[in-house]
Amino acid sequence: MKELLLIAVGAALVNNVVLSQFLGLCPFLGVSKNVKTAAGMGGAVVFVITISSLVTSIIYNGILVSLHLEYLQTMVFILVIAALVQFVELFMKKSMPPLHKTMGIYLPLITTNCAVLGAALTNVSKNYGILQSVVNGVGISVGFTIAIVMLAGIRERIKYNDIPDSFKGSPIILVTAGLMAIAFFGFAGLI
Amino acid sequence: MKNQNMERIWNGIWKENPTFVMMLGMCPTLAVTTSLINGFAMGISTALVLIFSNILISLLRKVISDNIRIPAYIVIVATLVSTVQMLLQAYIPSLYTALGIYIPLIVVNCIILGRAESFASKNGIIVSAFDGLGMGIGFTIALTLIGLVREILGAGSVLGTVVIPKEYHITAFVLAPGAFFALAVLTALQNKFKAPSATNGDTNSCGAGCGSCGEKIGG
Amino acid sequence: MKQGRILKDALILFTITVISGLILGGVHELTKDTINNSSISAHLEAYKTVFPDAVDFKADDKLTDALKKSNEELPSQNYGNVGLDQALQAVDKSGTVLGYVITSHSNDSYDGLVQILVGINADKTMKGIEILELNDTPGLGQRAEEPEFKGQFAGKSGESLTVTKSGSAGAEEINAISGATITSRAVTNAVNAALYLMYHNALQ
Repeated sequence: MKELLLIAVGAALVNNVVLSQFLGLCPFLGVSKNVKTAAGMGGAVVFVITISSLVTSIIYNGILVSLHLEYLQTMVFILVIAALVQFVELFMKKSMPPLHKTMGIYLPLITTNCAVLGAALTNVSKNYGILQSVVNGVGISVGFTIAIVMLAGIRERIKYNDIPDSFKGSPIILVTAGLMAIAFFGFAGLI
Repeated sequence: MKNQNMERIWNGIWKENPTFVMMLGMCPTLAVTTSLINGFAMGISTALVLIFSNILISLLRKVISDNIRIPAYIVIVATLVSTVQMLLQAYIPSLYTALGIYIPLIVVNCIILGRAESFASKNGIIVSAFDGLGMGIGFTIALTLIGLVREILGAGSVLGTVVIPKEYHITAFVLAPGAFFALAVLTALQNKFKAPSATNGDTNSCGAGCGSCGEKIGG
Repeated sequence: MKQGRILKDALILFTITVISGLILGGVHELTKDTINNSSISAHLEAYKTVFPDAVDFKADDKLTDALKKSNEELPSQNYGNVGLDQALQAVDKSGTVLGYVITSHSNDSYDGLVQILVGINADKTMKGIEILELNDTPGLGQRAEEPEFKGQFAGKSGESLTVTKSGSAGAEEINAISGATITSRAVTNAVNAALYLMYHNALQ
């Protein structure tokens, strides 16, 4: 139990997926204009990464390892993730229309979000079992959500500030992200 | 004909440089550029995948219909990436460990699917190959430059040879925050000199670029 | 008409996937031996650096059993997520066992896995360590590969070592790399795993 908690906290805060692993930067910079959409994106990422961690780790540990086909992992994972995202979208549209309304537009963006494939690959490189993989996936995606919502909150304020011309637009966002990354170093003492 | 090929290379290096102008493939750009050699190796690996994926996709453009475009591209790119990964592991193991999971992550690099969609699927084999070559060189130059800057500032060295005494190292530059700051200053400079960049103006086109790339994939 | 197109598309996609799978299988077969060889020769070189006076490194059944037993017991020790991968006897020309070379790892490093090689003399003092696999930040965690850090382990004795940030390590302490305590601790715990094997299961 303690070990699982450490994995989750480590993935969410200490090795934050965006601020220290640089995975999922595009949505992090692109979909963080306001808190509401950022939270929507975060929710969709939590959903997809959790499911894909479960499925990819079952496939890896159950099929690829026993058939000695580990070298196919990249191909299998990306196909599983792409199919999964489509499937989740269809399923949501049919049986959970309200949820689809809030998250639906973010789902197609997620296939190319490298955090999803990154999570699946990290689970393999760290030799995690199925339960550990799911916990790690939840940690990673919650970490993503924390980071993107915080950045969106800051960006909503930055709009009203007087910023040097050349830093307007993405430079100031990158500086903000850098400062957040420094702040997240503080979590290193946690584990 | 020859001019067209040279134009593709120039286009990739300068006019539509994937990193500095198009702001594509940001994840590996920031993650592996802790040193010059890492940035260079990542650039070359990506360039190799890009050239061959452009060739293959251009070759198969008449066979692959619109409906199965995306899964087919993903399979082709994933095959190339896994091949590069195994070759690196076999012949340059030190780089393989240094680049880690960012090698398989080349699969989701927007540059590759982006070029496949917007160029290789509509153009001939040779010109597509040159397009991949140009984009690959442009990406490699960008990553090597960022790696060089971060290595000098952060570890005070060039290619592992220490050139700045230890007291003056700004360690933060080889860490995560430094990557953000380095890129921030770079894009700010581009804004300042009004260089053609996707970051000029209000629209944040990293999001738009990847977004449209993602939308196409979903659709 | 429509069904025919779907079938054709599916067939094309299937063909592409099969060909890709075959190509990957081929590349895997071609590179498999080189990958194994390069890791074996890299290890052999590392064995020699931690145990220069040995001429051969041999596997031993008793040692392998002790390793298995230790791996079962290690999770209950306070060393975090560590494990032992291999234990070999280091022997000289006449066949006398000089000590042991143990490959161990920790999953708690800054970027996940760190794998090290620990040389331990027959009298349980440390011969030295060598980093096999470490994927860390240059200038910080990666400095574990510099003699300043890894050289500290040579000559240490004791059942387990701890990391100190004070800068003046005692007899059973190791100075942390400044700014990379997590990595220092992971390496030290991997060493502790090897020591555990020696003290509790191998050399009774």
